Amino acid sequence: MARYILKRALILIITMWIVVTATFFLMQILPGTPYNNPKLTQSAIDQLNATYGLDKPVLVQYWDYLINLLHGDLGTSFQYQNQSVSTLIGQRLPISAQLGFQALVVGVLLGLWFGAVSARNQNKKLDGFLGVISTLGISTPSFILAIVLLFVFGYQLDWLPISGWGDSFSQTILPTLALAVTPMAITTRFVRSEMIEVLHSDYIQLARAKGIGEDQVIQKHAYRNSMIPILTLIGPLTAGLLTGSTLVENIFSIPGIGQQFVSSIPTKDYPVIMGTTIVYALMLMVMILITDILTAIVDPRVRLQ
Amino acid sequence: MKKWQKWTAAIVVVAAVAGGTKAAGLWGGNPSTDKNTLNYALPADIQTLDISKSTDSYSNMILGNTESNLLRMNSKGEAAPDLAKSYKVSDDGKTYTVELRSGLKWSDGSKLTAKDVVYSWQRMVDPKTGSQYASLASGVLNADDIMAGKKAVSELGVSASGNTITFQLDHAMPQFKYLLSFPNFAPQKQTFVEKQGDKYGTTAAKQVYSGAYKFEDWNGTNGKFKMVKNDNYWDSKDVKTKTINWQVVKNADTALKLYKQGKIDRVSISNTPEMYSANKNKKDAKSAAVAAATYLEYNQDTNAFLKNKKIRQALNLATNRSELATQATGGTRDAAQSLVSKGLTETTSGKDLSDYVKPGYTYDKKKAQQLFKEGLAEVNQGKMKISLETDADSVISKNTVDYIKQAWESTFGSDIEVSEKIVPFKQRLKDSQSGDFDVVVTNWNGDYADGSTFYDLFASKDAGYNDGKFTNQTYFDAVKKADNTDATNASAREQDFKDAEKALMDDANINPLYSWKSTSLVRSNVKGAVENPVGLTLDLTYAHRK
Amino acid sequence: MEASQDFELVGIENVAATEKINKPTLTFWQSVWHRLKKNKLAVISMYFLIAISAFALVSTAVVSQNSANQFNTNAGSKYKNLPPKSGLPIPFWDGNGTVLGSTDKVDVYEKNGVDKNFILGTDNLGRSLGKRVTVGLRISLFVALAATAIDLLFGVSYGLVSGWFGGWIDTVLQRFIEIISAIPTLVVVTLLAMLFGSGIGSIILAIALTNWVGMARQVRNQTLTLKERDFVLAAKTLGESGPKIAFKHLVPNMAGTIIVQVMMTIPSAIMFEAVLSAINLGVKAPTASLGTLISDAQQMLQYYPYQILIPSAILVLVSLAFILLGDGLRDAFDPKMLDE
Repeated sequence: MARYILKRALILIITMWIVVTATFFLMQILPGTPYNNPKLTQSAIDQLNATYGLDKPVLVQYWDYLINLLHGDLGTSFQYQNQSVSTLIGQRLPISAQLGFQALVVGVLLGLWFGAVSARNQNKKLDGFLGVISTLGISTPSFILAIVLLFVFGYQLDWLPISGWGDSFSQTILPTLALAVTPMAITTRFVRSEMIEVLHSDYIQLARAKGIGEDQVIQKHAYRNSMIPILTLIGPLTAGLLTGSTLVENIFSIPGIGQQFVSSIPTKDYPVIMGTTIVYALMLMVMILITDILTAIVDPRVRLQ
Repeated sequence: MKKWQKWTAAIVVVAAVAGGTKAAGLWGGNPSTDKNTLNYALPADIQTLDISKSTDSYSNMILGNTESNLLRMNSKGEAAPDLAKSYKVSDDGKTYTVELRSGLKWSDGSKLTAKDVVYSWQRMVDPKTGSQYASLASGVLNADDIMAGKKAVSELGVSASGNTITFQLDHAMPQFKYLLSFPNFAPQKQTFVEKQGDKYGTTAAKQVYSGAYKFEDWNGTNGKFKMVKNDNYWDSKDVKTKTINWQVVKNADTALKLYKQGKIDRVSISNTPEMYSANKNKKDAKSAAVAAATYLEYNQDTNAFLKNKKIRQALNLATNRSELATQATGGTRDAAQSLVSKGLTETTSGKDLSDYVKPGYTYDKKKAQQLFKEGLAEVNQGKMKISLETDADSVISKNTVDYIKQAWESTFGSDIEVSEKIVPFKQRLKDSQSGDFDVVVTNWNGDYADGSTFYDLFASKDAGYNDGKFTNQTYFDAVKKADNTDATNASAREQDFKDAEKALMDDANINPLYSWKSTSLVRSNVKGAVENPVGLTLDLTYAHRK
Repeated sequence: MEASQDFELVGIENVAATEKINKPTLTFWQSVWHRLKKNKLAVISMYFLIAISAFALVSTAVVSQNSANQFNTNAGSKYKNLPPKSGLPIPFWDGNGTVLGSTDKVDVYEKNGVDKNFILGTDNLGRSLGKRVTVGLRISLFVALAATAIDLLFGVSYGLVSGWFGGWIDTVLQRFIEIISAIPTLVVVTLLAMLFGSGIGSIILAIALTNWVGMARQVRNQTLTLKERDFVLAAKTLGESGPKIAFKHLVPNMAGTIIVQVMMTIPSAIMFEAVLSAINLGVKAPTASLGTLISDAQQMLQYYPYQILIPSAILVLVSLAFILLGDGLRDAFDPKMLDE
């Protein structure tokens, strides 16, 4: 097990290095100036470039960036004077994490429930209804759902706050729901098919044949065995949430890293764009790694590979 | 339902109810009657409290209300003494002598001296600081050489002796007094700045304050903070408000909602045309001038069509400015009548400068078509294909290019093809600076309440902001005369500006589109707030609730 | 007494009949279609998509891209923000709305003196929303289909090469996929779109460059299984060349997987087009796409909700149809579903 984790961790580090390198050189060829004062003259720009080390050869800048990165230093923002990117991201990360976690929990729990109900009522009306709901959930991007929720609960009914974060829990409800629908839909579909397979399997038939009550069959045997494969979903679900959260944070004016990423694009704040990309990639890879390790623990066959 | 399913349902219901009631609880209580406090919202994060490095208007708004400079703009639009007791200008306009009030103190209780003023100016022009606004100091003796690294910082023409500060200028600058009220030139305490090093201005605690209020509770990225009365401010007896609460509210609709609930005392409604239309007729709606103008720059350096005067004139005549203001901006901005924006400053005779200098821009479709035909024949390169570039900062800017494209194409038919190029703000800047455009929409925010803040833009073909690289000798001469010969003669300068505007229109070097204004809903019981068209847009030093 | 007179032989009459198959023989595609037909939602979705595509194609002749950008530059606010009007007294579709700043419901068309009816209303410059949605749908579909076509070409080849050659080639190619998937798709799409600049071509490329991964994975897995099968081994023994085996034997056998994957890629491409528009990296203005229509109307939500809800609803419906059809096809291709 230890060797497996070590090997995976090594791959993660190499992958991160490639991600960092690719983003760094991509940033170099993007058009635009990092300064936001239209009143700068060329000589002033040259001076500023010298101050920020942007006049050095690209390879030197790259080397400096790598070295700083190893010290956990992601550089200094161009937009927020003197503010280090690590601080900027560090203060916004918990907000995004909370939102993502809430959405994941709500989505997965609802998905487990809907999926199980669907499987038990296979081909009945309830199953059909939940099927439509989950398909609709998959085909509605979270930002469109956010807009619809905002319209209905924010503007028309005026039940919930339309933006912001941190003042009250009620502010988190609409964005959480908007983000939770995709994981909900995916989990529902996944759990449904897993459960159906399990319910048709020999050992369940045997349990039934032994005269164990249907409720107990499902609780004791069907659930447990169909829950394990759901672990493998967590990686892809996280990836989906990362994408969804950027726009949802923007729509609800939530000061998370998604919003930071979106707002750093028009301002060409290179250090922030790079920093968020690296954090995103790291988060995603760690989630996938955790999922894989959990799966390996649960399913020993994986380790042999 | 299974047990855990019931639990899930229960948790969801409890959470929703708890959230709902908590929210409902918060709606209670009305802060708009508390006489000791005022409440305001900022539409964007504060970026820095570093006085020399701040570039955005929201950071400047915080700095302007917590830091004092030598002068401060009063409600009449005059630069009145603040930290200065008095100031004198020499007859040739090249030396400013300022005497500080005695017994000035920083918010930490230490003495504020003339040296702090000198240090702030030196820090601004020091290339090591990396300030993006250093060029504002250009005109002060040796400033340009210091910025270019050719001279030592100590050689700057700003010196202190006792309580007196002397500014020596290269040439007379009628606008110099406005710089003395600028937040970016407010005094800075050298020992404090050096002690904080890289962290200077990154949180509220990493700055000292000389203004009417101290800034508190800002940790560098959070969205709730406050200004608390500064007892060490020289005029603290006249500051009536104890606390000003601030919160960052990025969503304009939320800000409006907060205003209606009494939680903030002012909200801007000119962000979108729709919000403006829905609220402009309310009785607490107030419009204030903003010294900003939007105009088109024509690339007269590289584009053969735009080098042709008749074509430029045709394009200008085909621009219906009042329709543009109605359709594209929904009335949130006024149609332009000159390069200089409305409400910037008044002439010696008390007239608005823009009204005085307006050269008479008109919309004339027939004349435009005729001129365009003639122009095309002169250029003789077939169909005119041009790109129209803007940055995507708002709906209004998108609507504007959509409108202009449609207006020109419907006027000139198949002789013209306009393609829109909408790019991020900074890419637009880069394209403007490097001349990589055909027609570009430029927004210019004036720096001080004097016409030269606009006219100096195009002072010569190589002036930093003459992106279209046009040559118009009549215009250049008029501006030069205003800045030199007539620098100390206000009424002659006004005439120079008028001549400049006329020359600009005759040659159609640029195309003025609209003049900005800001419309807000303002709580009627708040008195004493000062709204300036330039610099510190909202000054709350003497604001209080009646 | 002979038993044969009491009983009549009803089943198999002779030996030859025992060899006969009573069910009609169906080709692979016929049986897929046969199974798909049983899934009503999938069939409805299919017809809906055919209708939408036909509409998008036919409308090219009627509503040009340019005509959707037209408006009267000298009409003041006469044509601005008109609500949808069908000409019939249908609630929310009768041209009634409130003028901003007042609360009374009036017929906005009558108030502004507009004779024409705009079925889907107009936007904030007075452009017909009906025309813009028509063009927007066309553009979004085009972007999605083009990006998917590139994915198909690239993803299938990548997967085939990776699976067929195996060994170190497979390892390298799979590592590359792992790295690509480590960066969230949105980030990759955004960076690429920033790099290429705005415009349809660059969006297609940006989406295509991120979406092929799923296809490549699926195809690789299929290739790994199929290449051990007898018919492939036979073809190999007969000396057929690699590419020939790939396209003659492998691809047709994984057609089901590929088609289902395509059905899933299209909606995700449509969605990414909208996401790019939301961060101002969408198609070149004033051209409409579903994404730009949605993002441009975002601050209209409170005042003129129809301007954002109409294009949003269309985007969701189209994605939904693709996914339902994809689900249906997956079941239809699945041999386990046979005769169910």
